[in-house]
Amino acid sequence: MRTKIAIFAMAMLLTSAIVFAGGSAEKSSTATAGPEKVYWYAWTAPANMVDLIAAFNKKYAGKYELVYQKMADAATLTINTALASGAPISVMTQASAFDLRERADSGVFLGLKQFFDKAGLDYATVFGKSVEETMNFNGDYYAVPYANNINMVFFNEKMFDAAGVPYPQPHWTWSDFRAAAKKLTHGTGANKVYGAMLDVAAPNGDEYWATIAQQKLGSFWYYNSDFKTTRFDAPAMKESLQFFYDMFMVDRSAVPLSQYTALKYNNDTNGMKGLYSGRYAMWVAPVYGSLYLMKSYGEVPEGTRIGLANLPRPDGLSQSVSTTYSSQASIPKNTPDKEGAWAAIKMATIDNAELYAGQKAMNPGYQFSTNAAADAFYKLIFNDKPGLDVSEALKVMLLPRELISKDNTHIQGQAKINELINSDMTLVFNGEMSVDAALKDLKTKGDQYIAADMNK
Amino acid sequence: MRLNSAAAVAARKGPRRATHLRRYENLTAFAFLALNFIGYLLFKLIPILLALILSFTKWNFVSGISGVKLIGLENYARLFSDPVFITSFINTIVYAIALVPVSIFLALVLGVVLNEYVFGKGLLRLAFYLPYISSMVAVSIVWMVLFIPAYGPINTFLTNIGISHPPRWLNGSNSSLISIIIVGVWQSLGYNIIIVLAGLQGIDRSLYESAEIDGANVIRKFFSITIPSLSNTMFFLVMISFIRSFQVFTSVQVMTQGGPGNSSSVLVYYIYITAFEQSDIGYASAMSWVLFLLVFIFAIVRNATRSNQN
Repeated sequence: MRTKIAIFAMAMLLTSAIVFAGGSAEKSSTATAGPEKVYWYAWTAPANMVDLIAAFNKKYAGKYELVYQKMADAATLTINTALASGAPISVMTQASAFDLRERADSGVFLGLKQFFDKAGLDYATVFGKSVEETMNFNGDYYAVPYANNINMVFFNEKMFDAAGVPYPQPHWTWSDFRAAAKKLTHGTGANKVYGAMLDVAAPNGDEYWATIAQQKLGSFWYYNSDFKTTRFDAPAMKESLQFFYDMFMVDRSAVPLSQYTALKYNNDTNGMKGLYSGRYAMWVAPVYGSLYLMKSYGEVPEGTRIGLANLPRPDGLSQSVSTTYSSQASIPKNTPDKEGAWAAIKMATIDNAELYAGQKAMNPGYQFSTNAAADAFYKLIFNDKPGLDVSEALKVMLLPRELISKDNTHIQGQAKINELINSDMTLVFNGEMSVDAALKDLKTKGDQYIAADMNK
Repeated sequence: MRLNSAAAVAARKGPRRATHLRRYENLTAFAFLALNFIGYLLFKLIPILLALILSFTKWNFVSGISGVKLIGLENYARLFSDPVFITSFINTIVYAIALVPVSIFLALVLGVVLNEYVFGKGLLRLAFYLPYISSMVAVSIVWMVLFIPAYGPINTFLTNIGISHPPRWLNGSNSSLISIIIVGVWQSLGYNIIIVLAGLQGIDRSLYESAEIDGANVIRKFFSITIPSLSNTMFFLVMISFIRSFQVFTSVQVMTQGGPGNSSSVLVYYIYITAFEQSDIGYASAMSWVLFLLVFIFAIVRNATRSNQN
């Protein structure tokens, strides 16, 4: 009996020793001399980080070393868990404006105006007025956009040719889009081919139902100018929701909500696959959708021709207006080296965006200073995309357009309003709630949610 | 052979030596149990108690411990005026009440059939058990395709047999919860059948033989012998099935995300959304304690009922 107890006690001691020794070894290995490590957290495929890491480490040889830590995805939980874990994070990336604001308000992120001032850079000049409006929290900035994800329309040129439908014109309207979708829709049942695929109502999806409203109303599209009430009662809201409702439920020229959520067409990789496989003729997606033509995402069939068109403009607006959302990089307050983190962010987002956003086929966060600079960048992001009509894509990207940021960084009522939008829009696009009823519900409850949050 | 138990030692060497040895034996037992208990303490009991404390706070965990703010009973008061919570609570109960009897009844019937009347029992048992051991995510994705209203296999079949307006399944607020229940029944059937089969093996064959001699038919034998003999097994199955049903999550998360319009939202899903997408840990903790109390009260009532029956 005593022998057994002794053996058990020894086993426990040994286990404890191994656990503590492992912890110590890890601590001691991070305390070695050498360049300061700059930890970049993102969900980017490692292959797309190679050039940025090489360039940064060369420029700051001996001083900083960029170390990439890949996260599983851009989900709120994934990023929050990483931030709460205590791991040394120099730069954290995210793609949700709401999450950015929550983290900034929780004191997680460092204010970046100090770095912009020191570098003599003006945020609005670099990134544009619309982006600056959404990223300015009480006079400071807590994130730098590394990508401005401009919404475009990818289309299957062969399907257009087969249906005798002319390709989208540079400044086409939503009426043109709807008419084209109707002509391109044919077949029934499982073999039905749709004119368009756009995510209008998948939970936490792209909410393209609001696009026309966003194009007309601008940033913070559902808040009134005083941010005390919503504007779901604005004519533009009704126009927007009714338009897409009619496309989905009357024309039936867009892939139904039930189908695209089941078949995951609202996932970017599948979205592009569905387009070149001929399931639908047009796909509304951000410009980085072209990334999914790369071989690593699947073999594109021989003869595929994918065109790129501007997001249609609302009837009544004279110039093209595209909605965008940003992907951003922030510096956690407890980062080990603030200067190193800023150096990495500045390189990836301003000085050498082609090494980061460019590798991911993303439009950079900054505004191009010249057409030549834009041309060079777009040539890079459209390079090596089999099936893409590159010359047309380049022409379209260089067209003038106004950009409206969809990023909603105003926090009052937003969480509950977004939840309500998710809930009501699934009912609308399943045919269980009318457009008017949904907008009335959003207006009534949205105002209540804002008031409740403001009273706290 | 000499016995080393405390009783044997007491008989040989007197009471003092026996107490000392009994203490050694007890300490040894506790030492071996300690490992498991420490794990239970660290990863179950302490988090549960922390959740109780957090349910009285407002906290976004990204802000760290310093961001915890005590708000008293505000979270619990909020539950009564939160329509999504109320809907989720009701849906959870409906899901459990609908799934458990159906699943257990089917398991009972199929178990009896598989036990006695079928050729190729092993293969059939495997076929029924496979859904239970399959990944619920994969199962849910497959069922999403089956449920497609326009041309999914289920509705195609229903249309072909003359039903002109088949259900919208996951895409109708009247049918989304039913769809989740169907998937739940299908997946849990295998486990329930295995438990029923195990119970059936324990029934004395002579009871059936005697009943046959007395002229009982299959139905009479089923109700008079099989069901009463399986009462302990059924009690266990009902308890486990209800407790599992109250915790339904994966199928909702993958197939409907609680929609359309919260019609299929359940408690665990809403807790998850509140905690990890809206970062409202305090409110989510309050809801999780409500769920805990629901399961706890159910277990007490069920045990009390069982005691009365005994």
